[in-house]
Parts: sequence; C-alpha cells; structure tokens
Amino acid sequence: MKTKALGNYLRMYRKKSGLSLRELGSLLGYKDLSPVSKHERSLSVPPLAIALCYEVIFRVPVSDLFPGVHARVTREIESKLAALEAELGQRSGKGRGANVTAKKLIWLTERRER
Amino acid sequence: MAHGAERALAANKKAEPHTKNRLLALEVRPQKFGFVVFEGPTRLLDWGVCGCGGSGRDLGRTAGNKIGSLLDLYMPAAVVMRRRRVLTSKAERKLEIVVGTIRAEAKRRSVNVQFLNTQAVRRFFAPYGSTTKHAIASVLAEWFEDLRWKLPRERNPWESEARTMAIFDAVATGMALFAGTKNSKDRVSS
Repeated sequence: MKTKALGNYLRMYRKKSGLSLRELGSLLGYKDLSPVSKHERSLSVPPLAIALCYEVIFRVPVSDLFPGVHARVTREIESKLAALEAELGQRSGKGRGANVTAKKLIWLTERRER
Repeated sequence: MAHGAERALAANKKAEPHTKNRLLALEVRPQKFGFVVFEGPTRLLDWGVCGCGGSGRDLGRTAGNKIGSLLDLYMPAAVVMRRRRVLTSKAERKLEIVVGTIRAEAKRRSVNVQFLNTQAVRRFFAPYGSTTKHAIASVLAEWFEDLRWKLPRERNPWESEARTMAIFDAVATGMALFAGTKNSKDRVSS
C-alpha cells in the first residue's frame, strides 16, 4: 500500500493559512485564481519567481513545497552528473586540459561526499 | 503537528506501524460528503465538504467528478468510509448512488475501498471520554489544530447539524482505520 510522492504541498499550506485561491493569487500578482489552482493540481510548474513567492508566503523552502518536482529534478541531475563523471574519468590525464578535468573530478568527488 | 493523535495511536496496541501512506477518508451523506486526506495518521493534506445535489445520474456524475479529482490529485493508497443507516428510502437510494460512484471511481484507479462501522469509531474514542459526535469532534480539533477553527458549537436538539461536522466525522473514521481496526466485525463488507 505504498503511495507515490505528492507533486506539491501548496494546497495543504494554503488550507492551513485559511487563504482562498483568489487571495493567494492576488498576493502572487495574478488577476484570477486559475494559475494557483493549476500549480496546486500539478498541472503546471510555477516560474522561479512565483515559486520563491510561495516560499516567502508560507515560510517553507521551495524543495519542501514541491517534493515531487524536487525528487524528479534530483534524479535527473544526479544521473547526468554520474555520466559526466564517467566521461571525465575516461579522459587522458595528460596534455591540454588535464588540470581542468582533474579539478572537475575533485569537485564531483567532494560534492558527492558533502 | 497532531501530537495528541500520535499519542493516541501509540497507546493503541493494535495500531499498525505507520507510514507515510495517504488515505482518503470520507463521510458520505445523501446531499454531501465530507473528505479528509491523511498523509500518515498525524498530517492532514486536505479537507472539506462537497455538495452533491440532484438525483439519479446527475448525483452520480457530480459525486464522481469530485471524488475522481481527489483521487487523481492525491493518489491515496486507500479510501475509507463509514456505512451509515439512513431513515428514508429516498435518502438511502441517494447514498447508494454516491457510494457506488465512489467505489467505481476508486476501482478504476485500483484504489482499495474500506468500510468501517460506527462502533469501531466510537470504541477508538471511548478512552477519551468522547461518546457524542461533538465530543469526538472536540478531541479531533485538539489533535489537529488546522481543524480547530472549523469546529461548530454544540448544536441544540432542534437545530440541524453544521456542514463542517462531516469533516470531523471523516477524520474520526480515518483515525479509527489508522488505529488498526483489524477486528473483522468492525469492517463492514461492501
């Protein structure tokens, strides 16, 4: 009986606050309630500025407000970084650019251990 | 959040070790249904009361749309509701339509539907001295502070029930399920 991660918790935080869709929309600078409703139902992802507005309004980090999006982005980026690391590892340790490659590999290792 | 609810479940020996699973608890009435979406026993994601007026196909359609959107949005692991006895055959017919629609929508999404009886819910709240609906709602309002402002004042016998009471009934049903009513006599066959 395991459920999938929820796309976002906007509706929960809005309900906790007692704000209506229209009120929240007007705080965000929208003229009507439909963009907020779409964000809540995960039908659209808000632009960065609006996501930050949500963070400011509810005082909850964006990654906690949008755990589903955060999990998806994390998965995608981690797999791309792993591919990059593998590609860098195969490069020759000699010649032009070897220093830069080494620097990137060190950064990737440090990042993983952080 | 909802430390009271946590303690209540911890005290209950039968409680299943929970979990971040989502549960849609419903309180179905002939003209409306109250709903609460749980994420684990201590976190409420959404709550409200939806009207589903009309009759026959209209009634099924409005209820189906609302339930369908809740199931799509929250993808709960299970739906739970209470089997209620109603006084008139007209109300019973309406209730059957709504319950049938809920079961069909849940089945379409492979969501399990469970029914509890009222005794199971009352038994769960009995240790808190809550024997009436309002007393149970008051305990729940203490446990879930988000619902505190929705708690209606105690009604007089000649007054009709407040609309928001359906939310508290749904929460009570959900809590009783989380408390692990494994007793087969508490689970009503659908």
